[in-house]
Amino acid sequence: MEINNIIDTWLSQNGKPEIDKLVEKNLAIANKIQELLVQRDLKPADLARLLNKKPSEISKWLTGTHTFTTKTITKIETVLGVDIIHIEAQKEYVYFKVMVKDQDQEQEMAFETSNVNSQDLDKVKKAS
Amino acid sequence: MNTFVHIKHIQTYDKVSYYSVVFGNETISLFEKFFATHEESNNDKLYHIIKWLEVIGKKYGAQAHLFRPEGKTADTSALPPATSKNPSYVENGKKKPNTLRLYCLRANEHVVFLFDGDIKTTQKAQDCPNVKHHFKLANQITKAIDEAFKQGEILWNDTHTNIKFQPTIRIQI
Repeated sequence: MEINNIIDTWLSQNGKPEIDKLVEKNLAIANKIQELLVQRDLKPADLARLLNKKPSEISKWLTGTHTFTTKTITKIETVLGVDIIHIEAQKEYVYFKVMVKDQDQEQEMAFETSNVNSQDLDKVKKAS
Repeated sequence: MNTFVHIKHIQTYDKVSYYSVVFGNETISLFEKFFATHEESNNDKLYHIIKWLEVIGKKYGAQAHLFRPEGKTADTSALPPATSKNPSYVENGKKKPNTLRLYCLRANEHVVFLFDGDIKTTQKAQDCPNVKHHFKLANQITKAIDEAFKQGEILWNDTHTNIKFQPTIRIQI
């Protein structure tokens, strides 16, 4: 059988970042709500009752075609007792290498750019 | 006159393998015809559906609720799925439902056959001059593929995550 990549090829030739993000985010939110319902042994109809909505409306939300407002997300988070979206400050990761055995290499690596204040290299060695 | 189709592989992702069908001695599948027809006139709508195929293929699998049931007498589905009052599709900066329909057969969560489609203008597919032919054909092909599964012409692999078939398979519709 001939193996093709027809979808990837077409998408790469027709990139639309806004649609990409909408599809990915709406599906991710719908999937997260679905997972939370399963974890809590709830059905979409239960969520409809909790939110005072029609079950058909909730079913449509869960298809991933719905664009959720923050108001709706907050209501869902409130009735399910858990956050669906986490907005946190982005962490900056700093990588550094510490050589323990070879003294020559250690000196070389100690000058790597890093935001970490390693005043005492011995402490860093212990931490590693 | 008997009409035959053969199966053409479209794309395999971690969660879903997509296939289509090709008529007689043609080389272009129904799904590729769908591309060709809507690439110019409905590019955004088409992109929305194709992106959907990619994302569910990579991340979520072909779960039933991610498709729109459209079977008259068979297991035919369509994309995109049913839309709420606040749809995700955006065209010219405005949110609106995507009226383009791609008819397909969701064989299971891992295998989907993609057919053809068009802009749907009425509530029922059977009443729409644009899609009724595609809808009817998709239902016919779905029935034929279901029968090919029953007859063992198309087989599941051990984990039911993909299908096996002879390259020479011809399915009568």
